[in-house]
Amino acid sequence: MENNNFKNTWGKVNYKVGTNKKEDLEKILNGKIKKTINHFRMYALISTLISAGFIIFLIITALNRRNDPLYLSNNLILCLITLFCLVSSLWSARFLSNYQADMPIKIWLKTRIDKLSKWIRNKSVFYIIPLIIIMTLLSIHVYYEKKIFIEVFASTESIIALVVGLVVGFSVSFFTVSRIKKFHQKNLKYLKELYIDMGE
Amino acid sequence: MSALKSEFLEILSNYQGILHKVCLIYFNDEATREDNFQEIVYQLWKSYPKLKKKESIGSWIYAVSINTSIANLKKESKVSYTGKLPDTPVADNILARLESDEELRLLLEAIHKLDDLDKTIMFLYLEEKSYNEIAEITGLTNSNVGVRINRAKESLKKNLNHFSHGK
Repeated sequence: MENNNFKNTWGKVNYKVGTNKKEDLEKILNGKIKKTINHFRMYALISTLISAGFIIFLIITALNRRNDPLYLSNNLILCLITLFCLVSSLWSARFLSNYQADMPIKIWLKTRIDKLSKWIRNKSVFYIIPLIIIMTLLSIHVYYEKKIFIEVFASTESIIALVVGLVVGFSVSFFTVSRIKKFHQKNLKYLKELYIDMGE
Repeated sequence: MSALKSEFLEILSNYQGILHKVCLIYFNDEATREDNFQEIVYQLWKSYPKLKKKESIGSWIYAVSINTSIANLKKESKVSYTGKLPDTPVADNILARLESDEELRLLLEAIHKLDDLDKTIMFLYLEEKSYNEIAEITGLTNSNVGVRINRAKESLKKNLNHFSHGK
């Protein structure tokens, strides 16, 4: 095919691509809006239910241990961290999905790169998850040992159980967070390459 | 239906060919093309109230369609969208209709083999966009657009020769 013929050949696509009626396009738009809203609602509902269940557990166990100030402090801090995580994860989900695409490609690439880089650079998740694991394990372990908080640390068995739980918990959380970050890093790498390729 | 939505759907109805063509050059798989088409429609709708220069609707549609497709490109092999929309009428296999035209099929194959930037530039060139329009859509300077078009054309020619001789 000659160079000049590219456009002529491509011009034939116009006659071959399908066209949807206005009503069909409305259906597509409404369906997509509904799907997007439902997706976010589902995520929000599941996160809220899990967090609420956990907070209820923390409150009930704390009420049963009213005389143990260390246990009460542990559960209170855990409640606050859970609430903070819930709010920030919902905000983060909105933030990542709520991007605007109505700008020149190069500017859009830069915006997307900046947002993703900021998200990936944020290391707080690496500290918060282990902290939640440690405090949750302490809360559950101390409660079911039927001892006061400080006494648990005097028992070798308790310490061993905590260490094992911590190692497993850390590994799982580290693996999960790494997987998510890796996925976003791959996207970021691709966007950066494209941006660099655009030059100037 | 609100007046804004009705106005938007009217515009979309007139310009939907752009969306179909963008999906066609970026995605091989029909299901992904459908998902991408829906995503572009949604992104256009989201940004429509902010569209100030109504005279550059074409450039706006090209930019949103290409940006959305690029965002979905890396997800293609990784993320499978959860189910199809109910009663979505986009499921019309465009590729099957293009198969009958050998020249067009070859051109499409050659475009698919281009890297993503060349693909974008070549698409806008084939759509008869001026250097100014391509610069507006891509954010490149006019002089850079010229260089990029030549580079993309060379790559396309190479791909076409490869496919033609492979026949």
